[in-house]
Amino acid sequence: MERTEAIQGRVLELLGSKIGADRPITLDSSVVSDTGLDSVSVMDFVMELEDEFDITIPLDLLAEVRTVRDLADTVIAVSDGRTAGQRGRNSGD
Amino acid sequence: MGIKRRIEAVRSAYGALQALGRDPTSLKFDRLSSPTRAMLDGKPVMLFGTNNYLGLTFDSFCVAAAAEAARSHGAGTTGSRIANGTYEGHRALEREIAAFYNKRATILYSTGYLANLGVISGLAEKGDYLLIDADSHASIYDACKMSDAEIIRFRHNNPDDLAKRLARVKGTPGDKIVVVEGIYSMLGDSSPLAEVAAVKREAGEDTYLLVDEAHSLGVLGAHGRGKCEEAGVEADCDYIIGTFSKSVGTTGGFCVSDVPGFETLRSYSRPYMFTASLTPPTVATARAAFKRMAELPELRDRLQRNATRLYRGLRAMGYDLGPEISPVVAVKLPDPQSAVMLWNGLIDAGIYTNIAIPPATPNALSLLRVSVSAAHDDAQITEALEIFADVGSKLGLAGAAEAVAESRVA
Repeated sequence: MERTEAIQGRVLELLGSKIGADRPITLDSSVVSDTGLDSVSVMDFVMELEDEFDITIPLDLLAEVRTVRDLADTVIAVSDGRTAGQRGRNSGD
Repeated sequence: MGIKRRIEAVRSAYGALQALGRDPTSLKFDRLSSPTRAMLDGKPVMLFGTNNYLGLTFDSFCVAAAAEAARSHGAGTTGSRIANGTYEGHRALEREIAAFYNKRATILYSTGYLANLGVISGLAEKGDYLLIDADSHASIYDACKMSDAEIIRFRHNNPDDLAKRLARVKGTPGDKIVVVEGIYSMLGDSSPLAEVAAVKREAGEDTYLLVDEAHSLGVLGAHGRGKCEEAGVEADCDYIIGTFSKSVGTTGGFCVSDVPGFETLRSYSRPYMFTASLTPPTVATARAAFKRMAELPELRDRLQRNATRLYRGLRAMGYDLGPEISPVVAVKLPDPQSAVMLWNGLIDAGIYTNIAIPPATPNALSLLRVSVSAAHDDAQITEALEIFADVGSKLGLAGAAEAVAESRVA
C-alpha cells in the first residue's frame, strides 16, 4: 500500500509541475479535461513517466486511462509485469 | 462523444481564427499556370506552400506520358491490385523503383498515407514493438492504431533516447521496428539517421529500421534517394517508404525493401488489398518523373540554392525558423493569431504559404510552413523575401529590407 501511495504521489507531483500550480489536481482528476493538456502533451508526459520509473508504457494502455489514479495504476501494473509490455524486462530481474 | 458536441468543439476551436480572415480549409485554386504560380480565389499568387520540390507537376515529358497512358490504358483501373487492378505499368514502376534504390522489391500503394498505413500495420503484429519518433506524421500514428503491436514513442531526433527505450524491451520475443522520417514535414528538420542506424545495429537482429522518405526523396542524396543515401546507411534501412505526391509530382506511395519475403505483404496488407490501384496516367507520370529526376540532377542543386536563400533571408529579418536549411522553411510565430494574420497578409500581398497550428504541430507550435521548389527563379525568391519583410514589419513580427540583399548567394 505504501508503494502504491508513493507512486501515486510521484505521478501527481510530476503532472503538477507540468501543468502549473493554477490547476490543482487530485487522483480523481481527469488526465485530459482537468489538466488542459492536449493528447500530444499527455503522450509526452507518459514518456516522462517511462523515464522516471524506467518502464515501458505502450500507448495502447492509455486508451483505458481516465484519471490520474488510472495512470498511476498503469505505472504499477507495468512495473509489476502485469501487462504485455513488460514480459521480457521482468522475467530476468 | 456525440456528433453535435464534436461539431460545436470544432466551431469553437477554429471560429475565432477564421474570423480573422480566410478559412484555410475552404481555399481553392481556380487555375495553376506553372509549379509556382496560381489564381487563388480570384487572386494571383506565387506558390510557396506546396510539396512540389522539383517542380515536375508541369514537366512536359511527365504530362505527355500521363495523357498517352490515359488514351492507351484508360483513365482508371476500377479495381484493387489483387483483383483487376494490376497492369504492366504497375509492375514496371515497381521494378524501376527497386532498381533506383538497388533493393530487391517494391510494393506500390495508392497514396503515401496508405503506404505507411499498410506497411507499418502489416509488419508489426501482436507481441512486436513499434518505436516511433514522437514527431511522426499522422499516417504513422494511424498505422500504429491499426496494428496490434506495442507502441513506444521516443524523443524527436534523439538516438540516445531511442537506445534507452530499445534497451527496456531487449530480450522480449517480439520484433522491434524503429520508425523515423528522412525530413520532418512541419519543421523541415532531418533525422540523425547515421546515429539512428548505429543504435539499430547495436540493438540486434530482431530490430528493423523503417524510414519514411516522403519529403526527402528527390531532395537529399547524390542520386536523390533521400536521407538514407545522404547518411550512407542504405544497407541499414530495411524498409524505405516514399510518396509520389511531393518531388515525383503526382500521387501514390511505395515501400522498397531487401528483406526476404517482403512481398508477402501483398496478401495481408489491407490498405494494399482493399483500395483501387493507381490510375494508368498516374503510373505513367511517376515513371516519367523518376526518369526526369535521374536526367536532371541540377534540379536538386537549384532546390538547395533556393532553400538556402529563403532560409538565410528570412532569418536575417528576425523570423524564428526551424533548425536547419531545407526545402521546408518553418516560420515559428508566437501564437495562432499571429500565424493567421501573417498568413492572410502574405496572401493579400501575393504569396501562398501553409499555416499550421496546434494540434497538427509538434510542441504546440504555431507556424507558417514555407516551401521552395527548384522551379522558383531568383526573381521570385527575391520578391517573396521583400513581401515577407514588408508584411512582417507591418504586423510587428519581423522585417528588414536589407536582409533581402544579404540573402543573395554568391
